[in-house]
Amino acid sequence: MKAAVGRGVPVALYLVLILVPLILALERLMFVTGVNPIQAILHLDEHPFGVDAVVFTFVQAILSATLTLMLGLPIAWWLGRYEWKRIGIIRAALTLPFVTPTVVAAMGFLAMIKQGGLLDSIGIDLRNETGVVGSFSSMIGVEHSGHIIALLLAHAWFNLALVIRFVEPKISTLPPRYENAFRMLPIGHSRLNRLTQFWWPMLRTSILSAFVFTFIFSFTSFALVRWLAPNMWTLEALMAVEGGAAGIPGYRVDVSVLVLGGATLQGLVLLSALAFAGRWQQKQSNEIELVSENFSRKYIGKPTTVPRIGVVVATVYALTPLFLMVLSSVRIRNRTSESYRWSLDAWDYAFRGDLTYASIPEALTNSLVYAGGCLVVSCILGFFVAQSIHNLEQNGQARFAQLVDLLSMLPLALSGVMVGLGVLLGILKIWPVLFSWYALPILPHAMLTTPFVVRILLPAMREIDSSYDDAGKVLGYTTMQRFVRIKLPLLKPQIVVAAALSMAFSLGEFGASWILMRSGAWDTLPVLVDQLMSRPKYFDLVEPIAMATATILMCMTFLLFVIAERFRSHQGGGF
Amino acid sequence: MIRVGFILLVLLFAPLSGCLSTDSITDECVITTSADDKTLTIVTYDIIALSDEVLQEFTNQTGYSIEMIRTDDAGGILEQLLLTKEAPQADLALGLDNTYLQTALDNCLLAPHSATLPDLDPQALVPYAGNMAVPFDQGYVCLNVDTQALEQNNVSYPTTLEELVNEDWRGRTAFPSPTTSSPGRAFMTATIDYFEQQSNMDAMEWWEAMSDNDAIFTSGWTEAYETHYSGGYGVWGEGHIGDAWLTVSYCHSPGVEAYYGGNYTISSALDIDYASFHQVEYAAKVNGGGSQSAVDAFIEFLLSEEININMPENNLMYSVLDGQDLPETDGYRHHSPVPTQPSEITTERIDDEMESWLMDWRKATKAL
Repeated sequence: MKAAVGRGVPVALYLVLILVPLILALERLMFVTGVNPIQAILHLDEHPFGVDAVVFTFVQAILSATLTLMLGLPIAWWLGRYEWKRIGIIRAALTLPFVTPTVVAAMGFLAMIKQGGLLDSIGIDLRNETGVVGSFSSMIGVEHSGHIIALLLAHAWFNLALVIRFVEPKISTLPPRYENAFRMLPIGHSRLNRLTQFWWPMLRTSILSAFVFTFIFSFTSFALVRWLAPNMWTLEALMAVEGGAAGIPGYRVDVSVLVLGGATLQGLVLLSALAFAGRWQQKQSNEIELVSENFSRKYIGKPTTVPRIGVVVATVYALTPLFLMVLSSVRIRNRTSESYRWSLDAWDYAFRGDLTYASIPEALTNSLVYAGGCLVVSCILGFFVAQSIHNLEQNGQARFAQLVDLLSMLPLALSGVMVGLGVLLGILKIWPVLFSWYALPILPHAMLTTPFVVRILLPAMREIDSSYDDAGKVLGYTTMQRFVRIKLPLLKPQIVVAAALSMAFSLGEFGASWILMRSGAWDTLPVLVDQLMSRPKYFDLVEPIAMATATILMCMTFLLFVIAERFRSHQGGGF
Repeated sequence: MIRVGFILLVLLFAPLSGCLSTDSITDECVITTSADDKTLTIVTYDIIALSDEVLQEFTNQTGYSIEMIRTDDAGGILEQLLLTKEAPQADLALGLDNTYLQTALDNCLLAPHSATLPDLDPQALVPYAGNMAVPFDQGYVCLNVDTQALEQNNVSYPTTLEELVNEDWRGRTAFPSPTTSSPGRAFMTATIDYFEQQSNMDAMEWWEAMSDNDAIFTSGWTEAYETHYSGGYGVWGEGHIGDAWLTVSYCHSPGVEAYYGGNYTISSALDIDYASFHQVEYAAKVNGGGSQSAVDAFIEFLLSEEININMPENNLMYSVLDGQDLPETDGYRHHSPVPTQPSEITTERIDDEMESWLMDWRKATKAL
């Protein structure tokens, strides 16, 4: 009984933490609008941008996912097929975009497409849409096609690692004898047949999973849309920008309808997409035997010229926006001429700061406090939720375990903006004084990261041999002693990975923080970058200061991912 | 272990709470003040006059430290006050303008100040002269045009708003949205008056015609002026598009351009009767906010000659002190015409009809 209560409390606390603010926010929005969530979806057309935002969200997400596959599949194929020197470094370089905070990605792409930037200097003007891009826009008759292209390229850049991580291992670990056997058949002589009859069935689930996850990330994109496609609205961006007026009785009720309907529609789409991806991944895990990737790679041999060029281009593509962002923090455009000067002034200003805008040390301190708080809350809650699921599984309550597992994943179907608005409006109902509470942003960050902690720890808990625990009992250890002396050391690598990922995610989190900081007083690094970029640029250092701040954020995030990666690669891990 | 985790969580989620006191009733609003904690929390948007040095000086003079809550613009201040009405976070609202003020007053969001005020420009007191809000800067919102672009494209200098629906102006105008931008809201309000006074056309018909003429609508002034306007300083910035020859800004924006550009500007303000709006920005004590003395001290500090006389340079707005004007340095005043006949719409009417104007505007323009 005591054990059951012990298991139940953290699970209940976690569910309260994630569900209560959202339920109260829903209730408040329903009270203000007088419609239920489904009705609100049908009323989205009452907002001037509602329908356009829905259409654009779907179209750009599908196009982004398609483009990502088109760019990512050849790279994944080449990486998986051939024996590469320093494959670890190549993989790390190609993974960097995916772990980059979205606001940093936006700054990197802005630095690349801006007037006088790299693309503009070779005649590709995606910002002002002149020259080739302008002609293309006129030809296809799509307004702001340059902005859309920039957004799609940024989404593809951001999600390239997803395709590689989903597809490449499948290619590199497939036993070569399978393909050889297929080649022996008459149907296997043609390359096209091998592609459609052999590789497509083998890779289908990985490719579709990559497509779905890229779709999800593009569907809920905010920072990239905000900065690269300023005249376009996705549901996420529209809800974020308009959301400040939501939930106020008798004041701009159409905005409350938009937020209620938009969040419901977005939640339904994300849930469906996650359900599809989950089913495919489950199917994939039972399909075929695999071999060591080194064995498979050696069998094919070293890459030829085309794969080499392809992988080099992809690596350059992955690193260029980040490099240009750093460069933009020291290369300053003079206000009244076309010339530039090299200077560290922006860094100096950024570190000294101003009371109106937090300095880098102030914002970094806030970010680190929130990241630390997020780490503590999400690791403790995640650990106990994972432990409860594991215990339920061991006690033969598989269905209940599955239910708790499913509920713990619920925040994955919520975007940052949805969580931010949920916390904002939910907190208003529960305890308005919390608005003034410095630690409030920890709540949405923990809501968003705890599912990842559960996903990292649960497989590791399942792998622990129960004989260790039995041996502890024989030695007369108490439950606490067995936990501290046996379980914790065995789970240490996964706990470090979970902690580092939680902190990194919290540091880079933008959507929820952006919503909450609008009502609070404490800026994080991503919000500071956004605020600086929104500021009238009378002074030529405003944008370089934003770039310097983004650079610091990038470095902090990468440091945490290096820590996580070291523990994951050397000790294994579930996520 | 579970107990330890639980206690940690409880400790982590235990917020500090303030206590309310000093209840009174003014004009059907219950006025409350929370305890004085020696910190003045200001909800504002990006007011550049409030530099680090200026705020530090206030702290040195009064002993009150300052915390800032920043919103996107004046509308964000109102929304923040409305959202947190039950538990106000700020002591002072800084930047509500005369298009938002009446809504704040009607919702009992503000409380009276008791600061000692210097002689103020009578013009600054026209929209509101009560003790619930004090003007701290002012300016006229009007249309700005890129004279060079007009010359290069043989387009005549517009003297009426109706001309802007002509083919010459297709895709060449940028307007910040009145739903999310303070200057946008001011200009939209002026158009209501303009079409009532000057034309048989309805204001919303004009906005619809502008939308059909591919006018660019942006969420904020910054995007309209910096990104789209071809005649402003945005041309030197990153990400400039420059597709609009005309936008909404202040009548003294060309003066600011000249001031920063060594008496050179290609931007000019249009003086069209009733198509400009006298905007006044206010400092006001938040109902339920902190110490009266801190708020009063800040208002007096903000209206002191030392600070307010420098508004044109430090905040790019007019001072509200009596007898003050823009400096003549580098053509600041020369390029800043004062409109002959600004809009005369009252704050009461703005408050009564703004919601329906905004709905009509959004329907007419299909913009945010």
